[in-house]
Amino acid sequence: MTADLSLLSGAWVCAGLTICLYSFLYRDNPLFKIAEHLYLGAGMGWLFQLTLFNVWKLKIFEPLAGGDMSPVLPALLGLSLVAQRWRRFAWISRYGFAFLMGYGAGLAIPTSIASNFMAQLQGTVEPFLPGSAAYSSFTALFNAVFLAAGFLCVLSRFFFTFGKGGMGKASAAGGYILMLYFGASFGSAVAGRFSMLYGRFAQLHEYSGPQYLYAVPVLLLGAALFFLYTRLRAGSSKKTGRAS
Amino acid sequence: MSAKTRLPAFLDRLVALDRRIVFALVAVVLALAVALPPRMPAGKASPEVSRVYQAVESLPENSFVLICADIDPANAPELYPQALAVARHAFRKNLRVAVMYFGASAAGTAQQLLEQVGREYPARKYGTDYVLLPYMPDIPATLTQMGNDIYALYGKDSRGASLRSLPVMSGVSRLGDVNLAVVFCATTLLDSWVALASDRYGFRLAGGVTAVIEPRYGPYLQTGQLAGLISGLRGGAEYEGLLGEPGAAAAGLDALNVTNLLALLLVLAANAAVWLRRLL
Repeated sequence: MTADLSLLSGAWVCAGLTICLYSFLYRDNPLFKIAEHLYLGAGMGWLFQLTLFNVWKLKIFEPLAGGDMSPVLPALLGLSLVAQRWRRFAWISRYGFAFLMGYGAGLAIPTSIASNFMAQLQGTVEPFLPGSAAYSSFTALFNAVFLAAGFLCVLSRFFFTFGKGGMGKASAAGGYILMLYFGASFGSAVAGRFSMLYGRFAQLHEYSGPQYLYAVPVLLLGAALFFLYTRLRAGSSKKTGRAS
Repeated sequence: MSAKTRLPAFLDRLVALDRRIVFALVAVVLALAVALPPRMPAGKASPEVSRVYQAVESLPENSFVLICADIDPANAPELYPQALAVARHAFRKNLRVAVMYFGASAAGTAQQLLEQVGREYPARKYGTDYVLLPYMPDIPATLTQMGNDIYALYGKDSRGASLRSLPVMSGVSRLGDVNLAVVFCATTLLDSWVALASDRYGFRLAGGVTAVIEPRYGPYLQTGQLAGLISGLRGGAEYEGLLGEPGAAAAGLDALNVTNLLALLLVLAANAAVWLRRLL
């Protein structure tokens, strides 16, 4: 049974754009460029309408229309950022940026110290306090010791003044621990990319069935014919160039 | 060409292998894994995933779960099955669910998530049991405001109804009233949730992230700032296993396993070739 028209057209567009984008793996080509520009254009259009209807309409136009003047100042601060576009009025944008920076720093600094510094220090030391759950099993204790030792070694890696003796060895160990972290990160990144690739392949597999009128095989064949044609054309123009 | 010169030439060719051959190999292996029926079962759930499951499971009926589904189409293969499994779990447990998002490109996925689970559990009604919040662009401002008064920011739901009047929001006016929040993201959004929301307003927070950013959240698990963490397709499959409902993540495990194995073999082959070339 064939899918309804909206699903069918969606499947063809989706499969076509995926194939166009993956064609870059073969080489840069017009199909990839078309898909790339479509993506950028559609993305910007989507973001614009979402901001217009969910932010500007809901947060500014509707309250103002209802007589609530509280959005005026924030809206003016936001609009001031646009003044950067014109050199003569660029100074106006400083008010908006000053607000953003002051607000951002005021919010970020205390919360970062509390959540990412103090809480982490506490978490490193806490397992060694009497009555801690870390003493309940060898694995938990090993994890706590490894974490604390790793923390001290990596920290010593960034003391550049004392590079000899025990500090030097701790610093070297810190380097290995960092490498382990980077290796784990890279391994995770590779696995993550494969997951994304799997997602695309699974969808292409779904769209290759008869209910989608064999969208993927047809589009793949079309792409292959396109590349064959461009290759033959490039070959014949080379020959013509040589002959002339 | 003699045997003595043939091996070094082969090794040189192997080291300088055209990357398009590697792409083609990955494509063939992945296509086979997708086309063939799944064979490999998900392994035992990791403690991090089990902790997320327990966090949902331990909630009494009618508790309020906030899902931040910042899932855009690019990372949907990893994150969507995770979010779907958690949402199914919450629906199955008769919990109230609100879904929100920050990324403009996540709007469609967040809507799809609620529509799909809503269809699977027709007894659960929009507005009474679950709700979709509209797009909100600024993460720090939104989280800070939600900590004090959710309705000051989200006056309406995504359908334009007054959020305060919806039964699903009964008894919930700020982040501190949320029983559990689960954030699905492929960015550092979870850091903001920890620093600006859960640490400040004291509610339980769990995460679902892509495999790429998993290592950075280990410290938050160790300190208990995160109740648990689901990572990548594997984490999603483990959660599906705990639920007893194998889904998209479990189906992708074969593909992930064989492509990871291929990557491992290619890395080993390239390293062995370089090493042997130096010896010859």
